[in-house]
Amino acid sequence: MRSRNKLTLFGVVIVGLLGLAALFAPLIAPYDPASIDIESALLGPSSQHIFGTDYLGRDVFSRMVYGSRISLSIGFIAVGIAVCIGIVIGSIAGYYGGKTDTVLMRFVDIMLCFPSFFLILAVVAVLEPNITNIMIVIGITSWMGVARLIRAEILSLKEREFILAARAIGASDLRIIVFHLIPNAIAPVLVSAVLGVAAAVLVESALSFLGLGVQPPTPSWGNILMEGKASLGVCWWLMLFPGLAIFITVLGYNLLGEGLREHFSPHK
Amino acid sequence: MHILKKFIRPLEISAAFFFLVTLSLGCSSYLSGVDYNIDGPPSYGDAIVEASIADATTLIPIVASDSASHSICALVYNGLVKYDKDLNIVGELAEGWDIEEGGLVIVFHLRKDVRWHDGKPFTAEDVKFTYERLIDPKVRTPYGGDFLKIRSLDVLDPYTVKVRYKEPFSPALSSWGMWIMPKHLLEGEDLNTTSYGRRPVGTGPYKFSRWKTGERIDLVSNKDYFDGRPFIDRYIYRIIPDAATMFLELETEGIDMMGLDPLQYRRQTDNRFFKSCYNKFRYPSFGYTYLGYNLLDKKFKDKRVRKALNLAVNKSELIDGVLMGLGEVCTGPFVPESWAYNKDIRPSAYDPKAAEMLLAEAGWIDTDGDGLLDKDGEPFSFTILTNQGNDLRRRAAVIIQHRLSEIGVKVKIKVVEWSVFLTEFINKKRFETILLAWGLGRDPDCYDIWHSSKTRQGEFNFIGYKNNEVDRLLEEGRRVFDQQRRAQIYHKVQKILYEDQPYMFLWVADSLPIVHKRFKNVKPAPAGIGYNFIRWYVPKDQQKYKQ
Amino acid sequence: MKSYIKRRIISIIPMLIGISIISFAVIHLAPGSPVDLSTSLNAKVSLEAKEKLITQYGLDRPVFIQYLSWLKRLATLDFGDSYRDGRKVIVKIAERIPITLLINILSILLILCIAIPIGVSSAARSGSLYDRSMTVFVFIGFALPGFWLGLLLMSLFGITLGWLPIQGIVSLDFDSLSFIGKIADVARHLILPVFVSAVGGLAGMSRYMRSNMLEVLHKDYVRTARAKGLPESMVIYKHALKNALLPVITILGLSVPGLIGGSVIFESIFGIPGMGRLFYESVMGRDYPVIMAILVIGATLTLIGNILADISYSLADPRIRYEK
Repeated sequence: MRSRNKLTLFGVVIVGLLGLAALFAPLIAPYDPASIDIESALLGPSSQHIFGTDYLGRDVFSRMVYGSRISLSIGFIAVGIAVCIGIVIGSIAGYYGGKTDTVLMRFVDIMLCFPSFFLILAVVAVLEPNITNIMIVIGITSWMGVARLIRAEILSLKEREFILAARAIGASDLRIIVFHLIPNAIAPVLVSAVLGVAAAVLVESALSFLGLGVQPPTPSWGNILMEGKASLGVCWWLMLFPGLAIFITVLGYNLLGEGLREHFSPHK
Repeated sequence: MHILKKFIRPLEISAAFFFLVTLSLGCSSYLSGVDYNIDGPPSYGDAIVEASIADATTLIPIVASDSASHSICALVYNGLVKYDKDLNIVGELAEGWDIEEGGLVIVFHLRKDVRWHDGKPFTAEDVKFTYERLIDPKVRTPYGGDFLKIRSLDVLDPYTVKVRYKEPFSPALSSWGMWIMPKHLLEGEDLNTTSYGRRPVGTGPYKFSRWKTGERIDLVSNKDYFDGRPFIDRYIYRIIPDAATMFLELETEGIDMMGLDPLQYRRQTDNRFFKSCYNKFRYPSFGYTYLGYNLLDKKFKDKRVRKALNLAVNKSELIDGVLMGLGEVCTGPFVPESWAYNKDIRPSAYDPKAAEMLLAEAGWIDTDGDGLLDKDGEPFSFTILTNQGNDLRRRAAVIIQHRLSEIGVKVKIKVVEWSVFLTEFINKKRFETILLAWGLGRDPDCYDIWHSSKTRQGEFNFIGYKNNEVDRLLEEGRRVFDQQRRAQIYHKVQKILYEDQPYMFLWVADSLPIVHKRFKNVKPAPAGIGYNFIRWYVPKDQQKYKQ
Repeated sequence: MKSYIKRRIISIIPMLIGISIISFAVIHLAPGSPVDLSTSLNAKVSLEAKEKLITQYGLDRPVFIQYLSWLKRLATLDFGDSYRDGRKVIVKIAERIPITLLINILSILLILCIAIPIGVSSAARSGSLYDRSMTVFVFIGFALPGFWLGLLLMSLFGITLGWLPIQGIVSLDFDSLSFIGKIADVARHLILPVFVSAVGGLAGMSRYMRSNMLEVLHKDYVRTARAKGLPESMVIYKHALKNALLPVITILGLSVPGLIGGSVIFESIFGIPGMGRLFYESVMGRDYPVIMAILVIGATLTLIGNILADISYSLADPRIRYEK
């Protein structure tokens, strides 16, 4: 078991470091991420610019440090939205059962029938692709799994002694759901939320690939990578570093999520 | 065994390394011993592979409106007239024409030696058929406009067509560059859905061979072409939907011809491999990029404000930063090579101090010390709107934003997807400024863009420009046929436009085609390189694709 | 069982109608219109021409009426003509499906071939160094942004080493090749796209397999088998594996719709004319009939896949019974 914990620890360290980088971006970034200097465009990595400079002579490292704020906050807020919707729908379906459950679960099925990328594409294309919209869109297209998880947990919990007891002493439905059921059903949701952050970071980069991600001049890892793609072969630093950043982040969050899953798992 | 392995390893590695080095030294010519620098005598054969980011949609020429379809149609069909290498109108299917009654009537005399790819002769009936389809309300053609100005079109004999216009219309002649369609095949077909859209029959230098959707379109040379058999036997149009991978494919010599972007032109193709295998070309493209102001917006009604913004943006910095220097500043709505372009207008120099003074004169002063100019309590801030999918425009917007922030103007950038961009923002005039480009025809007529009658929803004077003098000149420019006189008219139009600054004219970018070195006789001219495509050839010993 | 299947199949119909209404509403209420792309900002295109196009497509009618007429045609399995090139939608889809199907099937097979052994062996040696490195390995695959990996591999194998073709599914001289040559040519072209699309899927499948296996290994009958003194390999591969594989069937059922859905990103970088690009281009060009057809076909397959998953699961595991 100890070795497994090491992996989780690795995940925690990555997630923590990235979080700190995002929080203290202004202290870490050596340059203003927006400052343009055409004269020093497309310089390779050096002691001045450790990750090189982009087309407009902006410092890639600084842009990536600031980009971590954008990319991570997209991950977190999108997942937050998904979790909220999922919990509400899942717990209502699970708790009330019957017709309510059928209707809500059919709705979940319908949502799952759409290729999520279509929904994202359609909404981003329709609304303009700014940070808020991207968060919302990823959120409202990824809550179905959470809803199913919560519903399943609640179905198995609601006939348990402590719930029956709560009901017997006259606790309201809302109270039972919020204070008794959800806290006991939250563990698997937590795991899927951690994994969700990683998935959202990937989705943002995929949207950027299509030019529908966060729009410049705001830096996100996705759009820095996208800009770099065009120069493949010559300005390798424009593509390598943001790609690695996404890779490490997704890896870190997955290891953390896996650790959590292990932690909550019944077979220890 | 183990010991042996240890010895082999370094050997293998050095062999692999040697292999790599040879590969990176030069293109296949190094391996096959062919030197592409030798010209050799013209010879038939070989194939050319051109890459395109998008597939064609339909090859019915009057319905096709995308550039991919146009590239194919241009080889399969002919118009009555065409532009030669110096951009003069010359006959193609027409061997001559007479302009009569002060421009009201054009009589075309058609070539008698032209046959459709299926062997049937080309006649005046085909011209009449094409015209009738162009004005047919049931045909989804975007090109009807110029042809609706025709009062009547009569076939005088199988090789003579008389076109009568409702009023003199000088762009009329160039509009007959429209590709002519075969009546005997398409009559009775619904042009919107006909299967000929996927297997076209034309009169042009290349015959359609096959089309694999999303992959490639193949053409073969028309050995009986009236203007001489093309030297290159096959033309392959490869669809490669991603620009970065298209370039990778070029590096494997899987593509013979494509358009480069500035970075590729400057840095990625500047090595021995490309120098030994490809020729790069550079000439101004037919179009300009601009920042247009919504003149209904009260900030931009004041000419001084528009002039000030023009002074505050450094165009050469834009061209360096966005195009890596591969472009030219422009001062009006024509390309600098055109006879309509007024070379006397000097672009105003970058002068942020003068810009600040002009803005102050217009009432924009930083009164509250927040670093932003303001007037009547409102800070000077606006949004640049541009379309998604164009990195160059986005980069330009970022530079403009940066420069304007230095004189206290706050700029936001909004990038929207093309369809939304048009319907929600342009057509409804819901924008403050737009960063966009116009592709230009060879004729300088720009009535639709600048005339004050063209401001309805969906029309092209979406910035709401109105100047009576320009209106008058544009109308006159359409009535006059003499190029000298038209040049004077358009010079005046350009002068007024630069003075009025309804657009901030930014640049004319260069076209940067790259062509494999085995193709000879590629000679850039004002019209580009494609004008003599049928005369390009590959010497026998350099031919790559057999069959 | 039969009545259960019948009931499930009937339940598809209202869901499909629901899905089609939502899709129709989303794409028609979205700004933009199909005439934009074709007419774009071309100064030669007059306003009248645009209005003409709108009437021709029937886009000036209320959305509700447009939906009904679409539904009516669908009842005869007619998906209509594409706005973009006037071809039958069904033909456009049919020419894209084979290649998408081929790549997806190969990639799922590849995933199964790699992920199941990894999952099983990790579970068998749960907590060991091996288990740990496999965890990291599959997550690395998942965490690599697909297009990034694709481009790097293309530039390595296509350019630097020159071993593999990087674009499309066949070479330019495909027609002149022998039959064997043709197969080899296609195979060479498919290596990178199949590999890249499989890499991302390894994690999900192998983790799923691993947790199934762990669960089974804790079951009573496995303990009994062990108690009987059977060798560990026998326990794992004979008793446990069979049961741990059951849920994989469900996953396969659920991946039926994925088989015809392509990823626009992979298809773009590898130059594959598949479903993903067709769909993306249709959304961008507001080619309503094509979008609707792909969504409805996709949804139908998803629903059928769900049913297949449930049924095959119940057939494979007699303990599962559906009431009524």
